[in-house]
Amino acid sequence: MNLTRLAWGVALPVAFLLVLGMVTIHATERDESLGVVRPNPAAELRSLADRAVEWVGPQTLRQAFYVLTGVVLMLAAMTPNYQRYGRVAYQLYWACLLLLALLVADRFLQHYGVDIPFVPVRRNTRRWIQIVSFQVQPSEFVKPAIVLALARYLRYRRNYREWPGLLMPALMTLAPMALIHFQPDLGTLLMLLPLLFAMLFVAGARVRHLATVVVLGAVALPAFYFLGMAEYQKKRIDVVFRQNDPDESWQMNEGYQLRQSKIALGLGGATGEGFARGVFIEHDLLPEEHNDFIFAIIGHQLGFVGCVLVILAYGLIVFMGIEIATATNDPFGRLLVIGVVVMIVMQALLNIGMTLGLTPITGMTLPFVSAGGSSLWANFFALGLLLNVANRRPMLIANPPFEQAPDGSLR
Amino acid sequence: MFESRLKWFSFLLGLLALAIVLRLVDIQLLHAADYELLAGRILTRAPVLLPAVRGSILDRDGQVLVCDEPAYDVCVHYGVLSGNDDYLPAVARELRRRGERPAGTPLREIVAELRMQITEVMWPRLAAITGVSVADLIERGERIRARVETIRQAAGQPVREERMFHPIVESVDESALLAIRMELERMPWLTITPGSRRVVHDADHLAHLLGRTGAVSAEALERDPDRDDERRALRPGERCGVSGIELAGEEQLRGVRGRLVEDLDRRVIEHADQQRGSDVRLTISAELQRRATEMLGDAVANSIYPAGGAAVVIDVATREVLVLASWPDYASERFSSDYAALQEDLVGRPLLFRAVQAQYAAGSTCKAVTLVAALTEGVTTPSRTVECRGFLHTPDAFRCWIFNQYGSSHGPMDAELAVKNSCNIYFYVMGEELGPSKLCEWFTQFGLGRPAGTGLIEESPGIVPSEAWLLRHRERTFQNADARNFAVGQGEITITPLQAANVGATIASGVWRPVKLYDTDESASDPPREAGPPLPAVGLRVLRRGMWRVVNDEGGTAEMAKLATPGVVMCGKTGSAQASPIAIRWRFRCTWPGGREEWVVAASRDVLLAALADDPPTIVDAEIVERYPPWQPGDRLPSHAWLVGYTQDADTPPGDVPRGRSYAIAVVIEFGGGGGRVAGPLARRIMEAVLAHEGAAATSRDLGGAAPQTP
Repeated sequence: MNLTRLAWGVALPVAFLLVLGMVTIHATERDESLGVVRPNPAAELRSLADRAVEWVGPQTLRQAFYVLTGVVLMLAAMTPNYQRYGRVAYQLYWACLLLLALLVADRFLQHYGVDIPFVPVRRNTRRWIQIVSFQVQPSEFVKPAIVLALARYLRYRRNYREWPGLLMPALMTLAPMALIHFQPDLGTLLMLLPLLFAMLFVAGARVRHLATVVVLGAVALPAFYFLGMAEYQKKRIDVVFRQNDPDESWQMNEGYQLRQSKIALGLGGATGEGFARGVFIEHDLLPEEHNDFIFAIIGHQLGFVGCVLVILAYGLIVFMGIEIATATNDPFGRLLVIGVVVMIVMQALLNIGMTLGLTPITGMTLPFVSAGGSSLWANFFALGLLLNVANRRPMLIANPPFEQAPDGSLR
Repeated sequence: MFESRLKWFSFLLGLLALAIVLRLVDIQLLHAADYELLAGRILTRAPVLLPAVRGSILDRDGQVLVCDEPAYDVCVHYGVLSGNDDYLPAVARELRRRGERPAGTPLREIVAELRMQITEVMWPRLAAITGVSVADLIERGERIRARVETIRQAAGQPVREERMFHPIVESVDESALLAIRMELERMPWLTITPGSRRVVHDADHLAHLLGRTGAVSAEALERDPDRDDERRALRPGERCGVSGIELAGEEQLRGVRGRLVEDLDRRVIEHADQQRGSDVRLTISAELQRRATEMLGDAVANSIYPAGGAAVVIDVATREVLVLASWPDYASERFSSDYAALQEDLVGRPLLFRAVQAQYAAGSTCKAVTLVAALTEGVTTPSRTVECRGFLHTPDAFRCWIFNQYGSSHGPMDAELAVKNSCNIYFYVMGEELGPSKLCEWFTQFGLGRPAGTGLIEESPGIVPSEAWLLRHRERTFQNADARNFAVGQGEITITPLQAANVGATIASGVWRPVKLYDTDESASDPPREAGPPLPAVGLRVLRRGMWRVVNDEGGTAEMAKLATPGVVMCGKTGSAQASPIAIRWRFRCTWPGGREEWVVAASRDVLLAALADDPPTIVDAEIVERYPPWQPGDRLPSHAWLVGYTQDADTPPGDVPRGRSYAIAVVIEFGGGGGRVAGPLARRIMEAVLAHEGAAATSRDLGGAAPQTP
């Protein structure tokens, strides 16, 4: 594959994360039995294929499928010049909004006895669109779509250095957030804000403006907690604040997941229990162990060293991403790269944060590591965009974009 | 500026990453030991409590009457009971994964096959093996489903009951277990859990006394003295004693659960064995109980108005109860299978534990107490005579029984003769001179008006009226007539057969003691139970001489109670106590809102209200339609036949404390008529059986122990 040195700098840490993820998912599957049926000697007669599936593990195979298709998607995303994505950015954005609107429509139409057939309801949430036994989660694809749309919107403008100019980008972000609110999916919803702020910040919006919004938001948070949040959402925040609560019943119910996660990490210690070793692997002690909480299992097996390696891998993605952004002088490309980096890294930070009890527990995967379908595809697509930018030579005749002086005038 | 912004941007991300690394250092490096400690706890399985075997109940001779035997509960997974759409596909998938179905079989086909197995094989075979009908089984399943659904609604989320096996048939025996294992083994939604069941062994005529075990109730949990001890405490869903000895002896019978703590690899971390409950050994002899109850049943059946009766035998020295017979009674298994019929029998009232529960007018038994009181309080002397003319002042009121029956009189009566002839007039005079409150104090001294001390909740205290009691229940105070009535055991005063027998024992030994119904391993270390103060010897001597003459003198009222056993004599006192016929049918004047008014006939107020629960009326008037025995106002009241007495060796000097082994007895036959004629022969037969049985037991004890002594 013809990748530039910068592109390899991003692709290699991603490959590391993918391999680590698959291996860990495989490890969590090694000792699982459903325990519904007693073992049967006739099991010896099973076909070789069946036994192979059993040895590798269905989750691992599923992950391999999504990684392979994801790589294809990534290569596809790399093929046309990324500028072309700029041209269809709004269309992609609207398409995603439409899918989200469909999910919302299902929620409201049920009152009239109308049920949209391909929207399954799980735990009273509507996050998936299902076609036969295959399902996608539109909110995952909203993230790259917003990155594209914002990059397209902001690329030749400068009015976002004034208050009114911030209105349009804000609306572009708030619209999908409002729709996601009805799924509901708080994690994805809150992910979109850092995306907006990061892109505005690097594009050169005034810190004063952004800080004002952030401060106002921070002030409004307690009010939101007491007035606007559902009981289960409050509990997730309580979990962070009460993680050292000695109350045993709290720890065995609401606090269970976080406590187990921290114990898994704590048992890992400096160098870990070893690959596919340790009680959390041998016994099913951590719910979502191959999914949202995979970081705890990595820490359990590989210890502090393994955890730091994972963080370094994401750090390398950030570092190389910034290099790529600096290397290009195309405004759309710059914003696109920064958007993709923020999308991947913020999600990693929030996921690791929740595993450690620093942020509330929301259903958020660790990019490229957790088992996943839609999230993996969305991340691969975004990665494809990033590599696409990295692979193009910078245009020769252009102003270095977004290099306005603090007063807004061009240098 | 873009580049400086990027620097700031990476700086911010770096800060966040730093926070995460610091947190990792905190968890994995600095506090790893703390988490290891916590891990120790989660690596331990929840403690499992192993059920303990409940103690057995034995009779006096060591025969096992009730014990725990192994039994098995058949449990079905909730997925099948609820018809949950996800469960069977999950089972099917698992069967296929395990290779019990060919790999290519569509899930749909396997599910259909499993569904077929459930409806066509499992339910019908389960019904055939356990004897519970399919409809019943399905209804039980439906009840479980409803209960779990309620829990789920309350919790607002899936609950663990939805992933559990629920008992659908409880306590099946070994043969059913085997059949189920053979036929239904391969159904993964069916399991069999071992448990135990309470089995009653040929303990005829002991159902009242043994009582039952039943599901633990909220009240039982509340008053459980061991509720803080997880190995002893009652737990909902389990069984405990709810009546009779099963309840009274609950503390002894209940065992101590075992406790097992294992780690996740099933290595034992902590293990305490379960301890079987202690046995309760009754003072009752099953053999005597059976024979006495049969004799009692005969006597009741042969009376003019068969209703019921009771017989109690107590060992005077130890106050151990040997016989506690009630008639009619019921076979233990009928309680669950035939409860309605037992409850509807208003004449026989088989559920009533008459020996300890029924409160009868005491009748002439009280005269014994009255005599001791009169002699001790100094209102009379043994030689003072009272003239019996057949009535006290006028022929209309306060008659002697002999006047009622034969129109004659007793003539002059001294203390001994008055007892022998049970002369009412003598005791009217004594009562009058003692006064009602003094008399009632004496009744209390002989153990009336309070439980006799068996510890059974069925036990009634009887009634000895006090001024306060009369005010509360009769809205009056003591009157002169009360003293006369109480002196001969009529009026408000009531007594249970057990109390009556203990009065006999108290007269014989000269001191009141609580009776004893069972022994436990621990009771040896119990402090001796409290006895009453010694009763005045002088009064008792006169009374005992009178009671000897009642049975053994020519013309005594209980001549028919004279024992045939050589070397032993019975002393006794007869009684014919006033009895009110039982109302067995009523007519109720019912009104309904809206003005409708009707007479409705029913067995009782409760039955009526239960029958009309949909449209409850107000009852404004009631009258009895039918009584038992059939009695019309103006007829002579039927009476209960009593005999209270005790045995002694024939060489006991008259009036002395009995020599040799002494047994006290009380028998009562409802509506039986004269105490001497009806109760006397029954008392004799029972006592002869007791003496024969105990004599044989004593002989075998002697033979087993020291060499028999030859005089």
